[in-house]
Amino acid sequence: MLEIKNLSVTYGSKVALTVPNLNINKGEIIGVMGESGSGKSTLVNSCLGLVRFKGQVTLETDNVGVLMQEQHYVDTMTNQKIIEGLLNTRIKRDDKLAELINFFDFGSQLSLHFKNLSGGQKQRMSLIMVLYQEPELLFLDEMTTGLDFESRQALINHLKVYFKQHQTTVIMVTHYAQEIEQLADKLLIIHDGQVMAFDKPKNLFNQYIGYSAFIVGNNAGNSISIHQPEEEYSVARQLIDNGDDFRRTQGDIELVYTAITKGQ
Amino acid sequence: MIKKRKLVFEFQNLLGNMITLFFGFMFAPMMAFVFGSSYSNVPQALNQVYLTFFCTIPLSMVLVGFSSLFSQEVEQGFTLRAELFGYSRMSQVIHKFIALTGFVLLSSIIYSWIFLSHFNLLIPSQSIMIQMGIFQILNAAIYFMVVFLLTTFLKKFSRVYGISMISYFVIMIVSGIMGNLNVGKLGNYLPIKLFITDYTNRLNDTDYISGKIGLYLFILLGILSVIMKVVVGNNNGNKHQY
Repeated sequence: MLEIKNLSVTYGSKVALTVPNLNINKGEIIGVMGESGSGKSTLVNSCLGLVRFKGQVTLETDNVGVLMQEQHYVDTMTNQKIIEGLLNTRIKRDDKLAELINFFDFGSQLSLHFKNLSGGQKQRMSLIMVLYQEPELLFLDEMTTGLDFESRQALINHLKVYFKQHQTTVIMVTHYAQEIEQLADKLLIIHDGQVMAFDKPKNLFNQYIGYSAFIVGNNAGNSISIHQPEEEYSVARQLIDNGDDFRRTQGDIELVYTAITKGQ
Repeated sequence: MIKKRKLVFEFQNLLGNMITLFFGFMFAPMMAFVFGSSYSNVPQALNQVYLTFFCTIPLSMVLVGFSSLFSQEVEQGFTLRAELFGYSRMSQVIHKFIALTGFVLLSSIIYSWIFLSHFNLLIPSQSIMIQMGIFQILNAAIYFMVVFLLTTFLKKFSRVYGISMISYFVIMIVSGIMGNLNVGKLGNYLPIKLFITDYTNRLNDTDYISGKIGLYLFILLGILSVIMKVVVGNNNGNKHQY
């Protein structure tokens, strides 16, 4: 669905991103993680042709949807008119659109102006318009920014079903490990403009952490890696004896991310 | 391809902008009444006032109203968002231009009806009306391209609006619409001045066609179109298009 070869993006003399080789298959959901300024959004912008780049980016489809990090629409009309104008349809006569508006509980915001929406409502409005197009390839750049925990969870649950039903290929840039754990098939970690890892989260966990790990005090920076199953009981016993709060994991994304980027 | 709802959207966008409404619909009749009242018994002078403020409709609507709206859209990334929703830059240009031209023509009709009926002037002949309509469309197209190019290069609302307002006043002054400055023969080469002098005494002629103005406008339009094509082409260079 998406193939990148020898991609290089520079801003002035600074190399913002280099990706030697990346293949994303149809129906795969890729979670992209990295610090602010690491090159995540540059990767999305390169795929969309919004920045100049060297190398080759090939998309197998023209049906591409994008949810940008920041949302801006005109303030000269209501949200309903913006939606109808951009999607070239009427809500009253369009069941698919009405259903999406209903699901995202956006009906009461239709008569408002965009500037009067909260951050989460702005995201939802954009998602409605993006998903209406039923894109084969979808780029989500910080889609849950500004959403409260419940709204984020509801959104993730819905998208999970939606993506499986529609076999959508998704490139999802996010800071939230929880989103990747729940949605992504593969994890792409970018650090300082370089691709540090790209594989299934489980494989990355096994490669960089081990069989399992104990996160002590809910701090991913303070963890104990377990390489053999039989080690687990003794380590757990020791932690209990010490009175530590801990959590056992066999796939914590944050732990993988920390291990890869901090070289732990 | 023209999309109906997108066109409605562009009309509503213009309607929702107070600057466009005021300068596009109210400025010309207001000023024409102020100046026309002084010459209410001199038909030739009234014709000149009528044509003078007729010309300001596309000028005000595009350089003052549309430039404010469009430059803010570009600065806030709305035009890019519309591109991501499948409206290419050219498609957006076409939809915006059609909506704007519709407004210019509507405003011209309303203005003409108010002014001519208030001062009991004869309605221009059909042939002249068509030429006036074409003049408005071509003028709107030229100003539209100027604003588009300014916005493409300068990107920020404050810069674009500053320059378009300066251009607006310069054109008004050089054409003799505003102030009483002696700018020599410079104004004579502007289509607005040509239009006013050519048509003032010929509003009711049935067989007069002003080829000179049309030629001028087409040459201007041609030059701007080439620049616009180059600019749009360059901006898309080395980018994946979908």
